[in-house]
Amino acid sequence: MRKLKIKLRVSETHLAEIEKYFQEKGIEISEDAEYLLTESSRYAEYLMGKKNGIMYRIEIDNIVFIESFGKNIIVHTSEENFNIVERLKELELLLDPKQFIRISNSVIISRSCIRSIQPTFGMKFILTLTNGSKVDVTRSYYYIFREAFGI
Amino acid sequence: MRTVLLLFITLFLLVAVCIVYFVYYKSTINKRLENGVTNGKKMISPLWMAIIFLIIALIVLIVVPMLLRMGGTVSDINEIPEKYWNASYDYQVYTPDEVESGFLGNYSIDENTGYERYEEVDGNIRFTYFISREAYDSYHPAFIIYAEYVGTEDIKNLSMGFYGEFFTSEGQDICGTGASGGEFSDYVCVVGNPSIDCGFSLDFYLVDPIAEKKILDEQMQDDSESDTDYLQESLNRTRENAAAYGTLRIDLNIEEM
Repeated sequence: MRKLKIKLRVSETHLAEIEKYFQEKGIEISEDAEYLLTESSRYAEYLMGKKNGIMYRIEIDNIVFIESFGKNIIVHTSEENFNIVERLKELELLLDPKQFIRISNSVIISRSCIRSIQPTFGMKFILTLTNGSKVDVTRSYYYIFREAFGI
Repeated sequence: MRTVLLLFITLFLLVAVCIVYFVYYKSTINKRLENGVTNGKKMISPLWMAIIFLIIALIVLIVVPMLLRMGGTVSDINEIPEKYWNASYDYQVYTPDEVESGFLGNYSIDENTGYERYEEVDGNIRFTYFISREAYDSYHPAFIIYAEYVGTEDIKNLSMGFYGEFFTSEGQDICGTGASGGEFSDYVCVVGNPSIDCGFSLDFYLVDPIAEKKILDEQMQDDSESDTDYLQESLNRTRENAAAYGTLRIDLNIEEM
């Protein structure tokens, strides 16, 4: 029988206690796990991402944007890119909405990492981010973006 | 041509306004981003601004000229004082044969009782005219004009034409009619009897068949937008091409009943 794995996104104060509880129940705590346990009203302080087969801790404040290519989810920081396993829908719940905003079906950006906004005559914005990347705010997220930035 | 120019100017303005707004919009949203302002008043997007200006342009192009044209027509009517609205304005043109065989046989080019005689020459046309000294009555004409050619050219085979128009004491046009065609011989007699004190102008001309055809051809191609422009253009063309062209403008000083 396959052993159940979960990953934890809880505060440091409760981490040891929760880890112990699950280990006693025979549940493995792992960053590769499909299931995620989070604390209510708590947002992630870091994500775990792989680069060249090595797992790294990615501080939330270093993330510029996260994009998905099919099943691959890539976290872009100002200098490096990492693959993560969480889906964008999960990340939307994990990340603080005051700090991150989804701008299309495949991109979540850090609000503080927008360098400039290029409007268009269509219902679209082209954003230049602090790492030089250009991403589109698509039609579906156009009004949400305008609302969020008061523009 | 004027419509195309208006379209071009409107399109140019539309594009210019959209570009200016686009630049302003871009600069404002980036300033807000830079200053971290997220509670600013939401701006109209460039797309909506373009749509709004397009609607305004359409209104300017279609509705305003329509209103102006309507307004112009109404104001043209209103400009003529009400006393002229219900008066009758009537004049006829007679050839020498018709003069001799009809009631005008009782009138003479030299002198007529109850009428003041005047004479004017304009462009080889001599106008000898009589204005009634009496109050208006429906049996005696208010004016009689004899138009004769006094130039030295051979006028055989020339055809004649005229345009007569009544105008108010302030010089505003009231109504007018004209005609052309028919051989000219010696003179024509123009007799009118408006029921109100006003003025009368007569344009009389002689043209050869070639000039007549040219005038008509140009007239067919005239795309003047208003009747007044069309008429003025038509008279100007005739004046330029006619063998002889004269204009007489008289104030009738009719004593009203």
